[in-house]
Amino acid sequence: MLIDRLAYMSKLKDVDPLLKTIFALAGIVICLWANSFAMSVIIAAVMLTLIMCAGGTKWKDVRHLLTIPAAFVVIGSAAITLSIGNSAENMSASFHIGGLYIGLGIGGAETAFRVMLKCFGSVSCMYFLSLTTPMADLFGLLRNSIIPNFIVEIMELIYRYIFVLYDAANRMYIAQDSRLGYSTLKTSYHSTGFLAANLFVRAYRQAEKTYTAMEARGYDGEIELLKGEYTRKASQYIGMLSLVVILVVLAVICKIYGV
Amino acid sequence: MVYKMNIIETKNLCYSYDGERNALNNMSIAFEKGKITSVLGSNGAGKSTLFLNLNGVLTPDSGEVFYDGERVVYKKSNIRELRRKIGIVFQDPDDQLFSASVYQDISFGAMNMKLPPDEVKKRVYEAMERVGITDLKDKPTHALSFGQKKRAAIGDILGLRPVVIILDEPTAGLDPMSVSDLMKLLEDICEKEGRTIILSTHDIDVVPIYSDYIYVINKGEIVTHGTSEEIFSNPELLRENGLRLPRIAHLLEILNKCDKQDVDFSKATIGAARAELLRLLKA
Repeated sequence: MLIDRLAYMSKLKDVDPLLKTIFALAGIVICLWANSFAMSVIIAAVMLTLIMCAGGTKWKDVRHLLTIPAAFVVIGSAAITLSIGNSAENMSASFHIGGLYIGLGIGGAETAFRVMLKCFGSVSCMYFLSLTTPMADLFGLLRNSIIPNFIVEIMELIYRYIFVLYDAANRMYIAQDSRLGYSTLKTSYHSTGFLAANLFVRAYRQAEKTYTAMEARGYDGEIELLKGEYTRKASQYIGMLSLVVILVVLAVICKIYGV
Repeated sequence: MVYKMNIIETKNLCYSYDGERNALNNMSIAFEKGKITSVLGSNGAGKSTLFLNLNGVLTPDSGEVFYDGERVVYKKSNIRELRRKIGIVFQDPDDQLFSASVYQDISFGAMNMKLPPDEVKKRVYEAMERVGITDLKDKPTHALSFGQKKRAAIGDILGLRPVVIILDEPTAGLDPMSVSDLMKLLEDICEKEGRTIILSTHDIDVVPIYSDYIYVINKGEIVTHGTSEEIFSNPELLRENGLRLPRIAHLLEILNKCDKQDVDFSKATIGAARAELLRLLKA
């Protein structure tokens, strides 16, 4: 998993995850509240700069990750430009099908563009969090939150065993493929079915074995782990919090001038 | 009266998974304090079942388990204490390592003992140092190689500071260098820290080098037991039970039986076999 690997390699990995989470959430809130072209671009720029310059993640990887939401954002925004109505009013161009007018709404393009930029701004905030914070740290954070512990425990176990099952599925796939299991469409359906069924059995057994291993180490219904260690530097807190203040000020300015 | 030199002992232990066939059948077995004891047996002989009965994960259908001379009572508080003293390293490290980070996973056992966080931290670092994975501390578990996972799994158990460490097939799937590193580590843990080691293995060549005592089990029963020389002096019995001699002992056996040479084929390690062959050459 690319994101996972990059998060572990990031230079911001050891920064207090709470600080990073607050920073990312603040970024999203400011971005949505400002609802401005300029602000969305500024926030995206700040987040991507932090990811790459402070975290040391390569542009190549970031670009690759940004293309994933890009597809959804572009298609979603494109839909906003279209409007449907009983008359051609409020449309800059339209065509007529059976009593309905379908066309480009006036101002639709602007709204679409605004939404698109807002999405990219918010996505960059999420990427800031996920590219600098390993899952283990986020679990630690969630444990201390209001979310019930058992839900966090389940999340953590699922996260860990996704990799184990993914490995198993991969090995089964290779074993099937090398016996021509995917040579025609029909055999492919067959093989996929077997793989899924086997994987289910595997998952069930794995759960049993893991439970036994946990019991053997004195598990009594609650997973307690040592908290991660983070470098807590005052400069990091001051830096990120002042950045948030600057962003808020910029957002207010953008709102006043309507850009 | 149970002999106090044995840290764990069972009397007529029976256990069955399905209520029909006994996975363990009247097994009376004893493990001596501060020694390395190997349990040999083919697949499905009952090794893992035996181990899980020893630290209370499975409760025997009948028979008794003694820990340090005292009969194990299957009460929750007792069992917790028993599991702290007897740590099991499972065959597949993926069964054991459930946490996203190595550091946190090793803390699991010690945290379950409700120790203060500082003490847990100390133990975790000590355990990582002991198995040589300190540099993997912050790695996600799934990014580790099989050998590294195995070490982490042993570190997991060392964090409990158990009196007895049980290892289920510790050498399975490891490359030759890792096997000898691992066995040296276990020998060290046994000798320097005085912990008792119990292990099951198929790696028959490794057995005579490290084992102080050996049990051979099959179909839930003890077939034979003794020191390495006693066990390997009866190759037919081993073969009947799906096992074999170590390669070097097999060579000596062939020299003895086919070539009618006067060699003792229970000399199962390279060192012992070398002395035996030198003696033969000089004669």
